[in-house]
Amino acid sequence: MPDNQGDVPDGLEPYGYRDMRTTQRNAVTLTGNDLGQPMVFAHGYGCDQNMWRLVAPAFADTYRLVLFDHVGNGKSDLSAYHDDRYSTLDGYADDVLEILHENDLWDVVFVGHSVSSMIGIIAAIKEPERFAKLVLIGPSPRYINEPADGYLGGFTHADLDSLLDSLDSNYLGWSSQMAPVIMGNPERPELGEELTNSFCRTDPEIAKKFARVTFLADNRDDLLKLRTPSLILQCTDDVIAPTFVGDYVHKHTAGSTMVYMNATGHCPNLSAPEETIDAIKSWL
Amino acid sequence: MSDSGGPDVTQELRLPWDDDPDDLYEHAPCGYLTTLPDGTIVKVNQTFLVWTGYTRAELVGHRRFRDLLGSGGQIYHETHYAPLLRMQDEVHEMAFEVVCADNTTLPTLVNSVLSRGPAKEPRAIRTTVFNATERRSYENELLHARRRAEESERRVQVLQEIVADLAAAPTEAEVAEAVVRAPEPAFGAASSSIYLVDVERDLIVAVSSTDPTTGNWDDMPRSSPRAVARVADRGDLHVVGSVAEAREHFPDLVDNMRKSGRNTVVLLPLTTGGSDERVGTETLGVLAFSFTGERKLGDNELRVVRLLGQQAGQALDRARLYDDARRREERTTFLGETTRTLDELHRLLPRARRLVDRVVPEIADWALLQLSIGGGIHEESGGPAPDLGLLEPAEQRAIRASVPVFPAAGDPLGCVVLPLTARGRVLGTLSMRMAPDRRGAAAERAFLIDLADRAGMALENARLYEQERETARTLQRSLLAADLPSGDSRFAVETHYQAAGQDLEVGGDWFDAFMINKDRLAIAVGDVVGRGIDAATTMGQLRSAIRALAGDGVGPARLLEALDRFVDRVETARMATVAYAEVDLVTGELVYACAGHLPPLFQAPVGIPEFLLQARSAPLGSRAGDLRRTEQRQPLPAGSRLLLYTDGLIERRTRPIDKGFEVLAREFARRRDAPLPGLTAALADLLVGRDHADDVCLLCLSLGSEERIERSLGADRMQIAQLRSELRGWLVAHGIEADCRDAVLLACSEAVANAIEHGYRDDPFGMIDVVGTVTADAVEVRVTDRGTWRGAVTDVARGRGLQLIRESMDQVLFDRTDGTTVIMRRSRGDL
Repeated sequence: MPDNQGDVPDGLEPYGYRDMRTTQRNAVTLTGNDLGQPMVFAHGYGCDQNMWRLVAPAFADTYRLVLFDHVGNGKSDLSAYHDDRYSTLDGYADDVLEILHENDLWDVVFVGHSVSSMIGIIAAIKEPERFAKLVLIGPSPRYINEPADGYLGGFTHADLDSLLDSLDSNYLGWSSQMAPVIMGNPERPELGEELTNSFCRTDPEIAKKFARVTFLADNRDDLLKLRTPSLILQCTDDVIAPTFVGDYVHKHTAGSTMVYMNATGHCPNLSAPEETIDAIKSWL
Repeated sequence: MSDSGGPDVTQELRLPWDDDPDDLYEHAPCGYLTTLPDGTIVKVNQTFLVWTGYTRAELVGHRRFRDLLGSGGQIYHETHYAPLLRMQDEVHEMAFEVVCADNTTLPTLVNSVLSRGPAKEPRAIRTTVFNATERRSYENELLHARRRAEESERRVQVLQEIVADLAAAPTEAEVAEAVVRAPEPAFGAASSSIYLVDVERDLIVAVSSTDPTTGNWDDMPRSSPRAVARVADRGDLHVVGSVAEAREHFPDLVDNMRKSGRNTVVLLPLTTGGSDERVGTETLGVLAFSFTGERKLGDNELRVVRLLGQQAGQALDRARLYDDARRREERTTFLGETTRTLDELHRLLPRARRLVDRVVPEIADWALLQLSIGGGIHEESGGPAPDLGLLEPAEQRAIRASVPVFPAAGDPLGCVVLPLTARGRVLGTLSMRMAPDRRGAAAERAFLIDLADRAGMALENARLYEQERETARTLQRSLLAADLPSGDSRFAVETHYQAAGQDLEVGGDWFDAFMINKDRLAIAVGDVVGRGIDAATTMGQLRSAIRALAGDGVGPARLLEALDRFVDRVETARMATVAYAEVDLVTGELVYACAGHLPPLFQAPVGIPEFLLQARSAPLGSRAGDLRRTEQRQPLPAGSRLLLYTDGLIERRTRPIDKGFEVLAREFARRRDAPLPGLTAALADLLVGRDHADDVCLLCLSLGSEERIERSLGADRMQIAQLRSELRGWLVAHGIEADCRDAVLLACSEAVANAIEHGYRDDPFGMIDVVGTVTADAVEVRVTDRGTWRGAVTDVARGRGLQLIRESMDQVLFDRTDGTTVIMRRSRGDL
């Protein structure tokens, strides 16, 4: 049995370890209706839980809202990052399950954006009893093309290298460049303060590793194993998760509902929050 | 000072021409774009068009800003720029590479502001684009420098760790483990495998892999057309950059590259020397590692890869030498130990057993020793046994050709069969199944041949030992078994010879008994120094000499002196010890002498045994001390026993010699009434046991085989016990069976009791005569008193006593001619 003295590296501990350590590790935020059904929001690659700011409040009256940051992003505990745990999406899915365990969450509506939709699927396969529904926003089970299988994910290995270059060129400037950013939102000045410190800030090294894990993951087989009902929100003109990928997900996921959105780009939760909210609400 | 009313400087700074806002927009020193919230370009300035080479018509209304970015930039745009802009309404200094019309890229820094309509709805994005070519090239240099530094540092670190691991790896297997782990951290490889060249077996052996599922990971002949074998053969680094290249040069790689999603494979020979020195460079193995992407290796990386190959090769070379040396040492130790432990056992069968027990499990998991010598020996150890149907022909082959049979590759038998030869003769075979050894087969063969030589010699020596031992035993048996006098009812002789346990050679102990004339018996027990066939021969000579020298009027002392002279000519007999005695069967007189020998033990018919300690002198041929021999006379009443024995009976390491004498005397006395046959064997068994380090020789003479015993006793019941004791000794001396003996003793006791009670009721000084006679078939006892019986015998005889006498004896008669005589007869019962 691991003890509480910390002599076992975090990365090797099994999930379900009964200690509320996910609160700090994943910067878990609990809001909304305490008595409501839990609704867990998981941000995608490149940002943090702030990206739900326009969507999550719409569910606060009915649902118990659980927001968190993946380790390495936002306000998460960077020291909790271990290469072996987070070298696959499984490690991230285990984090999600640990959050559910520690907060005793059942019958969960899981809303995952981008790569988090796959993380949600993996978690729901591991412990289906805890999940009621999955909302998958811009999901892709495999970003890289697989010509051998006739699979089109939209990217090649070269594209991934190119992304890593982009990350490098930006982070080079970021350390000095991330000057305080004030959000033009006079009604809610506290948001500006919050953003100044943490908004979408990512540790550059972890961001690169997360990019690799995300873009090299192949979860096509997992789609077939999912038994939880799911809603796929597919945007127009999404270069990250093109419509043909969304269609693939829909086709291979039993009990999935497909909604094609008017919203363009990869982040309808930001670019079209109303449409996103409506789509989720009407499905729920 | 302007407030002091000086000249108005602003007048002079006024622009020489009125600035045109359109011109300012179009030719601003930055690109300027206005897009819809979804990024569709609605307005773009001339500067941006000039920089990128697009026409306004190509962009406006047709393209989104993100469309102008490379793939990585697009992802970054979607995952970072777009969300940030939505949340902050502005984004500063994002680095993007804009793909120009001619497909060149323009490094830019981008600032964007999101403008919103009255209802806060996003309305337009205004973006300025700064040409960051200089800055980006500088940044790129920094970036590259950092990457190079990082990579170099990582590689150096990884290599340092590996070199440290290699230095600490004493065995080939450990070197292989250290090397196979290198490419992943050092070069970002997806997996790697290591193969080692086994020159002796002409194989390339797959030793270790970080991902054995990638396939193709198995042994192959060195001549195989497969990529690994070819690289091992050429000793050159090969980088297979793509599946297409593999198809062209190494087709065997194609399938597995496809299956495991590998696009680049590096095949690195592990060599003993540098890549430039081809002469004397040996390829000891191949490290194969692969990448998922099409990975180009830079010059620096290639240099490091080669360096790794050399370091690994040198470590392998070192480990091999070390392995070989250690193995040689182990084998040498094993041979030495085997020879030593085999020498501990002299006899053939134990030695054969020990040989297979040495071999299994130390060098083989199964072994079978089959010998044609020693009556056919079959010793097996370990298991499971191989197919004996296959083994037999191999054994025949090994025996016929007298050369070892080693298993060939893929041989279903998988056993080594060694012929065991010594002095030009094949004794049999030693077959072993050994753990497959990857290398050093030649050295291993030499070792096995050496083992076979030593085993053959050890077994041959054991065979010779057995042979000599058998000869000595035969000789000794034949000498000891020479006819001893028997059939003379005046005495009986019982002998026992017990050879030493613990597989020792025969000793030189002997006994003898012979008649000097018809009334004179000679007995002797002696011990010759040394063991084996020489001792047995010497013993035979001494024994014959005694028989020749003994004669009427010679006597023990003269005989010993004559023996001293004999020993002067027969050197091997020097220091032999002898106890010699002559018995006059008519007078019952004993004459004895001991030359360095332990004292005879004498047991009179009554009383406790005593050691005859007179007439002692030095061993035969001893030149020290008084050379005159003496002899001692001692009466031997009928019923006496005399025990001669050798020191093996008394001497035990765990017991002081005094204690030995004491135990012997006690045990001899305890058996006073035991029948003579088996007495000496029982004593030897009791005193020395089975597992003793010395031979034991005993001779027991039982005298008093007189036919009559006459005793007179007073009319005192107390004297009956004494009579019984003497009578018992007399009966025992005649070998009367226990049942008969007890019956006679009982009847006699009752008859004497009757005589005391009835014959001498009033005469305490009356005497009773008892006469016993033994014939070949019966015992007769007469009990006579001269008292006055009252009334008829039938009346006066007590019912019970007479009844007992009648039951015990076959025939009971009363004679009253002179006093009263009871005549009792009983058949001996052993007839």
